Amino acid sequence: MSEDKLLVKKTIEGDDKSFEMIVKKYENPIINYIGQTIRNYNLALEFTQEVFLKAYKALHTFNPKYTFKTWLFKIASNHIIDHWRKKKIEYISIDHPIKENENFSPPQIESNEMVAPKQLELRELGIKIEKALDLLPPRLRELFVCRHMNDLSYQEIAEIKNLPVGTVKNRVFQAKELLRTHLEEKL
Amino acid sequence: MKCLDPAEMYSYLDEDLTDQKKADVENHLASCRKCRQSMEKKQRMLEALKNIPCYKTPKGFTNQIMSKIKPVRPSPSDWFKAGTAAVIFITAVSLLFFAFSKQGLADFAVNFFQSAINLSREALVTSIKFFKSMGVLIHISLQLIGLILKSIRSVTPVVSTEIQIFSVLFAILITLLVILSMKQKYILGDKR
Repeated sequence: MSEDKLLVKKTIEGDDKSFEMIVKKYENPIINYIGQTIRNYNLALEFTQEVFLKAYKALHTFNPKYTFKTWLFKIASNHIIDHWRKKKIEYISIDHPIKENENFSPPQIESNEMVAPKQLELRELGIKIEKALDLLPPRLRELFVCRHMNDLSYQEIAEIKNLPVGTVKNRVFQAKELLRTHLEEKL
Repeated sequence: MKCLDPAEMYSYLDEDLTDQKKADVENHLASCRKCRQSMEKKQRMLEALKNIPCYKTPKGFTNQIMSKIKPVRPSPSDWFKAGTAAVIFITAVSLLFFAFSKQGLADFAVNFFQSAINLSREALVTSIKFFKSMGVLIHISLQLIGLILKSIRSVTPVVSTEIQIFSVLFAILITLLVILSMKQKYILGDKR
């Protein structure tokens, strides 16, 4: 039995310390996934809390046939979709012009001191890419964030989003091409 | 070999190609400057992604979640604490009771055991009554089923008794399934 599944089992048996360990392990991946997708830190923080509370209440419905990580990300993904539905954000096509996100609040950036020039250059480019993420349609951005900012495999993303692996690969590719086109002169 | 398409380049960078395809791409890159430059740009972009600042939870976030979870269900240690507190409380009350009452400990024990015996006797009588009434209930249910079967038989004289019994059981099963699905939907809040 994997470490996660053991922690889930112990939590169901009443050991809240085990759930605390789950939260500690996944709080940053989940907030990064939600934050980079919805582009709002305060909301991401609120949603992350709600995701863990939802997960805790629904822990008994977790099927050990699947991985706990994808189950948790699925809850977060559903939360994001609910948020988009409430905000009436359409799942717009990739060639639709997109407005800049007014609520965008970037994550904290560390100081640039003592960083090698190449690293500094990459960091600056990273910040530009981060801003350009706003230009991606939400659906593409979500998959791109999963793959390249949360290091989830295409298979894992396919399970979370209930999509065929091929579709996931294709959408991530579209997102990368959109970003690259936007950043062409900066690369 | 014709120039590489972007999807092929990303698959190469993702290490998502077969060995043969990977070798073909590398051979082409060695001879095509245009594709090499294009590949370098894509690689730089993916490398830069690793430098994007991450969203992180603030200090104390875990505790914040745990404090919201605790009231939902007490943990085993909470049960232990509550149990210890209850034992201490009962002991303290008993000591006060004996300190202020004229009743001696022996008298109290005798009275206590007498009450316990009476209580058990009462419980036994009640359970016998309960089982008796259950027997009556089962009897009435069987008669009711018989009545239903008779009425079904009078309505459908052609259908055999086995089919009639099967129909009744099937109806009961369907009713149970409906009740269970309603429980799933309205009580457990399943949104599937």
